[in-house]
Amino acid sequence: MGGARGAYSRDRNTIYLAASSLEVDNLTGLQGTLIEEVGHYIDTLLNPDGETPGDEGELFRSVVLGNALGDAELLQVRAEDDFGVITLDGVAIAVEQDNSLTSARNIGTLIGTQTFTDFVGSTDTNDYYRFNVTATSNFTLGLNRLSADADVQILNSAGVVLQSSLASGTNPEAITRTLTPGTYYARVYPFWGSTNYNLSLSAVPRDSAGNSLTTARNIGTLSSTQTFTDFVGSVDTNDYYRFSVGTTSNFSLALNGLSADADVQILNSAGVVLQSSLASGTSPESIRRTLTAGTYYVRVYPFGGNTNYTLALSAPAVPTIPDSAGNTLGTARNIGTLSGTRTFTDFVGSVDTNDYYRFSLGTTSNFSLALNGLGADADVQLLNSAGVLVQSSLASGTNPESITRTLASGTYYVRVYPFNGSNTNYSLSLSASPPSQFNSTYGYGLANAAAAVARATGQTTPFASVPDLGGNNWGNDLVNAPEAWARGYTGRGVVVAVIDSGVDINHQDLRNNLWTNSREIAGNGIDDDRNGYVDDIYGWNFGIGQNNNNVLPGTTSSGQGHGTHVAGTIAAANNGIGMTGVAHGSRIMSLRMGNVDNSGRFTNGGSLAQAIRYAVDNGARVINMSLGWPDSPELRSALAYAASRNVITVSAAGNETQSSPGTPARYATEWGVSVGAVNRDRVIASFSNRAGSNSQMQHVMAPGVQVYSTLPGNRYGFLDGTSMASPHVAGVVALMLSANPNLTSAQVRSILTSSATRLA
Amino acid sequence: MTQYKIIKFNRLGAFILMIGLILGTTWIIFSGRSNSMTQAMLAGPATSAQQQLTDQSQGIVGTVLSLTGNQMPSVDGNDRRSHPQPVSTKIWIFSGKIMGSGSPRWPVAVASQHPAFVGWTTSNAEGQFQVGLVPGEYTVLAQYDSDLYLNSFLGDGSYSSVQVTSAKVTDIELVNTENAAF
Repeated sequence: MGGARGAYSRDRNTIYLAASSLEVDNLTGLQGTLIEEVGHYIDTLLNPDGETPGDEGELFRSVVLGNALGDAELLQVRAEDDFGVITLDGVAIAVEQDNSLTSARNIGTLIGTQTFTDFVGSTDTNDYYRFNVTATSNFTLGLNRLSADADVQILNSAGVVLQSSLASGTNPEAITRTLTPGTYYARVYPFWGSTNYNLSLSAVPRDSAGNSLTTARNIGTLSSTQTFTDFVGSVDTNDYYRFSVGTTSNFSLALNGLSADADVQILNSAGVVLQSSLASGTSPESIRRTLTAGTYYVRVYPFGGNTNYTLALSAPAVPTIPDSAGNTLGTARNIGTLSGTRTFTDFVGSVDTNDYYRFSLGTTSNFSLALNGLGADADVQLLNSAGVLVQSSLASGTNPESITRTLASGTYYVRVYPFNGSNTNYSLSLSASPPSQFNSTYGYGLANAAAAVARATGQTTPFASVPDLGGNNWGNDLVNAPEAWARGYTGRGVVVAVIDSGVDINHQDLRNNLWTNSREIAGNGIDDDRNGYVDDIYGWNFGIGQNNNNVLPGTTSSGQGHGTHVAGTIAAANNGIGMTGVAHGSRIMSLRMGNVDNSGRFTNGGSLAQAIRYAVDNGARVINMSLGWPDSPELRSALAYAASRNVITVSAAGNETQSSPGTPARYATEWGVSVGAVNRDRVIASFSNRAGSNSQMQHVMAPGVQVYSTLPGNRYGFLDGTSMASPHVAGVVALMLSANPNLTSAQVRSILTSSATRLA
Repeated sequence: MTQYKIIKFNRLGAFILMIGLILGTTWIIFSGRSNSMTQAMLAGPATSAQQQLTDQSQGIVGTVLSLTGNQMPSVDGNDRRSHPQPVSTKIWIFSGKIMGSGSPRWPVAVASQHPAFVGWTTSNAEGQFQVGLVPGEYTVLAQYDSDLYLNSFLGDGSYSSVQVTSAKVTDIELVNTENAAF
């Protein structure tokens, strides 16, 4: 009977007795059980409509037998102590079941100390607690504040007693032992009498790694992968590992198996942090870098909560790559006439301080250079035939280097060299293509997705034409977006930031194509991903005094619906409703700059530079800026920052019929792209600012007259402006990056302009 | 919420005093703001037969505006930017939804033959108009020369419509952006 000595069934009007009732003395056994079940029978006579609170049988027995109930017992009996249900004669019956392993109080994973207060005695002969230990731990149990003798046991998951504490009288009980990962039970039971008790359970994971540099776990020389399992949390806030590498090595670290957020750092022998990995939540951490010979430390530490972890470390020696590039101009590797793209893999460092490449151009060409795959800082220079510097790229750390410019025919050299003698492999891409004819009105011409996306995939010929969509999708047709869609390139996987007046994130054509910050928990008031912005789920409102995560259009002025129109041109869903975006597989990151008045001015515009940096740091690969902004060093620095991270800034040229683009589009001479507006007949719009006289201006054209797109409130409408042209190009760039995510900023600019359709 | 106090003025129509009306800078607002009123009587539209439809205790009030010049969102301190200008013109009212033709413009010659045409009213020098209508769904366009114009559409390509409900006034704005560049 599941531990019950007796049971009374209302349905059957029958008292059932367990055989065990006969095995104990009369008062607590057969006699007591019968009296108790009679009490339940009387209860049904007085309360025929159902059960009332309290254990009537227990109370009746105590009254009949003259047993006094203590406060704790009385409290329990008043509430109810029929904890179990058994089935007899086909009906369910509540019974006063003994506590058991199966009904143990589950306290989950035990880390640190937990304390419980309860009661055992004649009416509650067992208290079981169930807990898990996830890492080998030092376990301690304490039972005190006893008023009668009670004992305690620790049992394994099968209920086998591992250890008991049987101190006499009211002396405290204690158990100390090591527990391996698994499930355990603690059992508290009375030896004589009834007593309240205070039970403390504690499990502190064993710490195999030291908590400081000096006590770091020394794993010796690191080469092939070594794996360590341990724990960090509130009771172990640091795990240090010490290792050494005997030669320049490709170090790799992976921290996995997290159940709470933990971070990791690599430090040099002086304890200086070289690099951190700060992924949010339980996402794995990783660090990859080149290490020169020496001693290093790895630090694992909790960000929040307790977690086990698996740490994998490896540091294979950097393979020796044959030096294919000469170390002087005279011994430069001669790659002949450069046409199309050539890629070279090599090494520079302390033992190879220069790699020179020599190439020639038969005609004036668009030249671009990209240096990637760096494990340490290296820089690059472009020199003319006399060895005179033409242009340098000096990005810091392992950031890619790039140079893009127009070169006249002739002979040139590229020099790759380490910064501060650091050792690194590299991948050098050199490309040259005949320049499109730059035009002071149209720049390099009409953006052409069929050619640009094809070039992004390495094809020299544009994708085949497909029938026009027609109607209000004429803008997609004009930039040949359907040709890229037909090849499966829709912008999928690319995040496009729209820095504007906000976006209607509930719009039927946009809501499924929005970027959301998966590392942030909505509405908890915490900056979960530690990016500096609290609860930034859909982006951020940079309007001064409005940093409230509200990216929706905030007013009903004409300009406030602007961002929604721009976003639709880029990424409105291909769903048969309204219209379709150029890159309808991409996702929009909405960054609102504030409120817009009825003349189109931001009344509380925030920092555009901050918005650009937010977009870059939070995963955007393209940033559309259909806006005008004052020049500032901060803005230029942010544009340069985006380019250095291979994030493409696309800016509207402006609507004032000026001879050259306004700000920020004007900086397309160095970073990003400027866009002017044409109508459906490919004629420049009267209002559109022109490309200017500087062919370094990466200026292209796109549809910007009578452009049909989304408006707040599930509406659509036609608008004119270079603001409408810019998102067409942002969409084309998203298509390019979905076809080839490895494109650098320089490569995107070069491909976009050189593939554009000439207009005159 | 916008509050309206409406006083019956004469037998032909009603003079509406709108206290606290948030004109703001709304444009193409077609979702509208409906407001309860208890004593309003708005003059009905005039039909093509020059008949004045009966006064109603619900309807539409609105403003017709035109935007011109550079309206690109900016922080540029450009004082030459133009503000929305009121438009005095004829307002055309159709019952139900009207499918668009792929353009905000709809020739009057065609529109006037549409069987859903209800009637028209006019906006004053401030661009404001008011019209009493029986409860239902309406499409409202402003006339510019020989075309009607409404630059607001729904996902199925129809012009955005307005719901008129019993004893309430729906507020809309009709904004022409043809000569603005964003």
